[in-house]
Amino acid sequence: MAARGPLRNFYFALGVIAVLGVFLIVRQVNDPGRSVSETYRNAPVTPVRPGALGHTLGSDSAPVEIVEFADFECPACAHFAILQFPYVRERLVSAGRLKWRFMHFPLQGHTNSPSAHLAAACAGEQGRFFEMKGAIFNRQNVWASQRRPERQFRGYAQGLGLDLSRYDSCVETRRAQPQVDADYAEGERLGVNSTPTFFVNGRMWPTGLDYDRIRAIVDSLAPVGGPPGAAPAPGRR
Amino acid sequence: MAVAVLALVGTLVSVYLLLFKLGVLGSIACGQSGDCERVATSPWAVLFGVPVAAYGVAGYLALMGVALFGLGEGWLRRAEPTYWLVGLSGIGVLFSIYLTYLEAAVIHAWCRWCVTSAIVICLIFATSLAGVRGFRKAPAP
Repeated sequence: MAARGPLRNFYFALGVIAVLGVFLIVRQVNDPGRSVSETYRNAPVTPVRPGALGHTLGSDSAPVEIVEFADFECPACAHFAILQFPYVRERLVSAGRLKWRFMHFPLQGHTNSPSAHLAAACAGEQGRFFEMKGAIFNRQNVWASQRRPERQFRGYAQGLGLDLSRYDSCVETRRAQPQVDADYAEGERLGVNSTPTFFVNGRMWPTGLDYDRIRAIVDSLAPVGGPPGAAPAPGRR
Repeated sequence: MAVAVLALVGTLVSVYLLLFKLGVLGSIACGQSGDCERVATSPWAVLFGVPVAAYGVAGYLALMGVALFGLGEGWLRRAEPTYWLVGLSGIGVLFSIYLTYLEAAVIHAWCRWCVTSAIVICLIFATSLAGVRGFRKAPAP
C-alpha cells in the first residue's frame, strides 16, 4: 500500500524514532564504556577497616576487592544477589580475580531485616554465610511480609545442613549480633546511606553494579595477562 | 498521528523496563538513588506472574496498532478507531494511577521511567478524547 505524501513523511519520522529508541536501548545493553568512571576515579579512598569485618569470598591475593553493603529486605539487593551475584561468583571470584566482602547494613524501617542478618551471620559462624545469604535473598518475597520470619530462616539453615543446635544457640544468644553491628557502624563511617552500596578497591562506586560492569571493572583494574598489581588499586590491603 | 508517536515512545520505555526486569539489562539509567531498581524489583512489578512492563509493551503496541490502523484508507474519517483509543488508553490511565499510587504510598520510591510512562498514557488519553470531541463537532458526512 503506497502511503500518500504527508503520511509517508509521518511513517518515515515514526521509523526514525523507533530506530533511534532501539539503538539507545541496544547501546545500553552492550555499553562498552562500563569501566572505571570519572566519578569513581575522583572518589576518595576510604578502605574498609582491616579486621574481621563482613564475610569474604575469594582469594586474599585477588587484585580487586569489592565490598558490598546490603540489606536483606532491600529489593534491589535481592535483585543483585539473585540475578548478578551468581555470575560474579562463578566467573570472577572462583577465577581468583576478585575478592568479595559482604557487609551487613540492615536499613531502618525494614522490620524483618535484623533477624535475617542475625540468621545469616549465625550461618557464617559455620562457614556457610554465602549459601545462607543466597537462600534468604532468594525467598525475600516469602519472609519479608511475615510476622515471625525466624522459622523460615531456621528452615533455610536446616536445608543447608547446618548444625542446628549451634545455629539455634547463636540466634537465641544473639552471639553474632556484634558482627552485624560492627559492619553497620563501618557503613555509617563510610557514608553509606542506601543499599546496595559498593566499594571497589576502597572507593565508593557511584552507581549500581551488575555482572557486566563488574567484569569491566576487573578487566580494567587487573587485565588478564597483565602484570599483577599493575593497575591502580587504591585501598588494597 | 500524535497518538502513534506517543504510543511508540511508551513502547520503547516499556521495553526498556521489561529488559531490566528480565535481567537483560544489568542496570537501569536512573540516577544514583536506586529507586528505579527498587520499584522494578518490588513484588508489585509482577502481576499474575507477568512483569507489569510486559502489559505496558502489549498495551502501547495495541494503541500504536489502532492509531496506525485509523490512519489507513477509509478509516481516517471514521470515529471508531478513536473510540477504541479512548477505551484502551482509559484502561491504561487507570492502571497507571494504581501503579503511581503504589510508588507513592507503598513502595515509597519513584521510578522516573514509570512516571514517564504514566505521563505518556495520560497524553494519549487526552489526545484521543480531543479526537472524539473533534468528531462530534464535525460529524462525518
